[in-house]
Amino acid sequence: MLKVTELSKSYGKRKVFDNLNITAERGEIIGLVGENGAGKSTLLKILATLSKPDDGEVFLNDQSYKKHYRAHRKIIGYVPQNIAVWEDLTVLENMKFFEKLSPVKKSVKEMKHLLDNIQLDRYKTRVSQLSGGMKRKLNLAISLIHEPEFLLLDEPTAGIDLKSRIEIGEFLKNLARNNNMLIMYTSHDMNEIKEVCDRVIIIGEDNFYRELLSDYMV
Amino acid sequence: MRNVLYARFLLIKRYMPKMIFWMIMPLMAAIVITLLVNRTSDDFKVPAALVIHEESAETEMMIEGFKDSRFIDVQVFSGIRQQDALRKLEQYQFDSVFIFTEGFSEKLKNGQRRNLLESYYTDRSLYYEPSKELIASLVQEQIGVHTTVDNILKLEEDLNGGMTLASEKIVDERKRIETETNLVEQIFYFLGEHTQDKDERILNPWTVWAYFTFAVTIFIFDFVTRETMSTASSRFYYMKYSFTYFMIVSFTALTGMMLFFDMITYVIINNFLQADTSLLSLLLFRLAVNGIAFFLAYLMKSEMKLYQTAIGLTVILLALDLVIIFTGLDIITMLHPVVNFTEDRHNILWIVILLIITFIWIRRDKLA
Amino acid sequence: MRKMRHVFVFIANDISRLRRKWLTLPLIFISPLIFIGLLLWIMSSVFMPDEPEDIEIGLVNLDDSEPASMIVSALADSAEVAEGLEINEMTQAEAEEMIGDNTLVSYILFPEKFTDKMMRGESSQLEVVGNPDMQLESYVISGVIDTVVRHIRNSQANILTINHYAETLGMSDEEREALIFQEFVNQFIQVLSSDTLMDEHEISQNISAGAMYFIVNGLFILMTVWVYMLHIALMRDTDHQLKERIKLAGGTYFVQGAARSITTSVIVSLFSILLMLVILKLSAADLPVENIGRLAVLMILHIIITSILLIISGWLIRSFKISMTVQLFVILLVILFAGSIIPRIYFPVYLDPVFDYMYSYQTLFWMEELLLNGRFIIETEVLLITLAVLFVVFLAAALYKERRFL
Repeated sequence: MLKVTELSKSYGKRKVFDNLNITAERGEIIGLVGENGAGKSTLLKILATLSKPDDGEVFLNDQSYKKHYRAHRKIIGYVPQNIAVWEDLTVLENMKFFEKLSPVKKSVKEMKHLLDNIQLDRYKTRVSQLSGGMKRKLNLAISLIHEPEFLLLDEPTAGIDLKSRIEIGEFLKNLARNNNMLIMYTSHDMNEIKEVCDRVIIIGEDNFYRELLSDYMV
Repeated sequence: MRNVLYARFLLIKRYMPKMIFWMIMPLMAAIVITLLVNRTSDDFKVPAALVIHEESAETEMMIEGFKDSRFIDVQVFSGIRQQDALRKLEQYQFDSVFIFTEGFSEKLKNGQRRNLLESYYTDRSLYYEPSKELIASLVQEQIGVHTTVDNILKLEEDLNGGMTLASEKIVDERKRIETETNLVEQIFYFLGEHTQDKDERILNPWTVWAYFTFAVTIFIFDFVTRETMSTASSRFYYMKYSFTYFMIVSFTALTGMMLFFDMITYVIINNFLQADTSLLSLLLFRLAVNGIAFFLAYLMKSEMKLYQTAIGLTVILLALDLVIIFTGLDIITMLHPVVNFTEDRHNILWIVILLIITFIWIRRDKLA
Repeated sequence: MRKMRHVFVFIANDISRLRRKWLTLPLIFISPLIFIGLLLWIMSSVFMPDEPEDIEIGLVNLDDSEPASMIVSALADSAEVAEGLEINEMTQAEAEEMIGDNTLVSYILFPEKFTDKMMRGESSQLEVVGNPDMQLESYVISGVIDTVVRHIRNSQANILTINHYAETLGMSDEEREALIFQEFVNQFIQVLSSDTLMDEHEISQNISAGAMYFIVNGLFILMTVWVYMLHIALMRDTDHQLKERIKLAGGTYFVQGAARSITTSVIVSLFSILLMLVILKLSAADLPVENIGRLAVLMILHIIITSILLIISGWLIRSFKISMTVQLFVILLVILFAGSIIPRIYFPVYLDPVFDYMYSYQTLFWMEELLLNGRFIIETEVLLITLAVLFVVFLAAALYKERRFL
């Protein structure tokens, strides 16, 4: 489904990654690890069509990003590191808002079902009053409204409680399995990576992670 | 489109009461300020003094005529207190002092036209000229009446050999003629404008409304800043509708709503404050101001900066208005949205500029 | 003492913010200076005209009768309708062209059959056409034109009276018409010599203080506007969590408010006093050092009071939008009731007591006394009392905010 060939990206003189090659199929969950500033978010943004590489190409379903990025956006779901929800709206209002603009229509019942699956049932609570974990769940739920085939998450469990972290991990595993979704996400939690991911991609020069995850190396 | 409108409504519904308040506020301000100014402006008077050395029918008429004036607050001093009046003038407590010396009525009756009275003013006398003109016209009138009476009496003597007519009767007859005949009138207009009576109003309610509308519209559009700077707006890449499209629909819907309030404003100001304006001007002004507000809000990085800019720009426009009044510089006039509106010049230039900016903005979005 | 340290922390914070926004500072200080300077220059040339050029008014006569021609010529020939005015006869085309060139302020149009209608007491209309690009001058001459028309109306009444009695007394039509015609012209000529009616004198305590009056007013308005603009520029929306942090670190409302007031007052005072010294130097005013000191005291007190006023109004109103608007009104009222734009004597009687208690009026009054009238004392009771009262309100408001929020 996903094919990345010789991808390179630099910021000024600093090379973030060079000649990166990745292939991935539906139903896989791939973890991206590396130290801070290694380029994980950069790679994620490129795969999410939000940024352009310096060199190399990305193909989704054999179609190049260069020509088809607009069409690809309809089947990509991106969960940013910053919580991208409307603070003034309630949980359900946020879902409704993005559903109205989404290419895929969903009924209120379906949206509530989605929220229930992620253990977020406080539909009428304003986002500003939710805990960090709940906000992250909503952040994820919104990205799923349009039923993407390829889901990218940037530190979806950063700074949240253990219970929520586990719930999200389980949810992602179900998604990959039941919806045949390709999922790629970044995290600093090694246990979570080992628990949830099928494979790992290590970004950066540091061997620390390579040693830590030798079983999961790509 | 319906979906986009619903999404927009969802996002803005909690701010609606405040937005409606701000939409109505310019009308309230226009009404309150106009009524206040019109009520109290008559109370703002020019303090002037009359010093009367001789008491006569003529000086009485001068005093009455001067007191009748709406814009002057007269204090009458007797001759011995002349120095008091002049001292107060020196201390800038009076705008001007007019002194009717002994023999004033005599000079008047003799048809004398030079130095009938004395006038004193200072370098800060803002209203000396109009006051002087008023006194002069009162004196002129008196002279004219006396001369006319004399001429008529002389005429009678020449024609009929005797004088049977009484001066008072002639004066009365003259008064009757003055009030009952259609005397010459004057109309004033600026070249190029349609003939109209000079606007005697001190403050045009539409001017007040327009300045408030300018500032308040920028306030209302603060949601554009908020949403543009929010991380949630990045989700629009994956939506069926772009953020640009969403904003254009929002702009249109909000402008439509504001135009509705503008129509109500038009009816109220027209009927209750008797100030007219052209509907086309109003429409173009609304479009121009909304466009300016929208793009300002889009470019600002924070709501606070937007509010600061709104106040700053409004103050600048006010200052430029004064510059236009005094210098009539065309280039400023063409770009001043409020002046264009109040002088019925329409805001075509701004509409064109905004259309170009919109076109560029949409193109950039399509290419992104 | 800890509080003092906190105050300095906030002052330093404000200053570093200003340094970062280095472009804003000149904008805040220079743009009002330019505007007010421009306005002053314009206003002073209105009220103290020293233009060698006369304002020109045109006369267009569409009435081809003999009386009209004579009247119009007489008007055009008259040297003194008013000082600085020139009246010339011209065709309508010439008049419109001159208006287009901005060499004519306005013209008076005598329509067809004007004199005929006038003499028969039928309604007639004089058209006064103004130059839309010379509105200020139009304002200046409109009074004169009003006077001319008023005189014409008076003359008309006189003439018609004479006509009436001439008829009653049995004068022949021919003779009567000749008489009316003669009267007509006489009345017109008489109208125009109103300038000699009065023996005019200009007096003042200090003749050369004319321009200085406007400059003092301008400086006063400027420093008041500067306080407002700097206050607005330093406003910041801090989020709830940052507010909590600040509170925990001891940054109370009182401390923040005091810091803001000190920063604003010091900066605006520096600029204002500097400007004042420049003005004194340029105008070669020989002001004794003690008076410069007194001026500075007045200005500083005024600036401090204004800044505290703005801070208090900001605290009492939660919404930034509303508080900014309200603060603008406060500043306008401060300036208006200083007697700066409209001198006190022109105000309605019922508003006069306000001035005795208004701190801005006291500031401006004593500034004028020092600079224009050579006084050597100032009275600061009203200023100091206002400052004391506001300080108490400031404390109360700070306490109220502290209890109410967080």
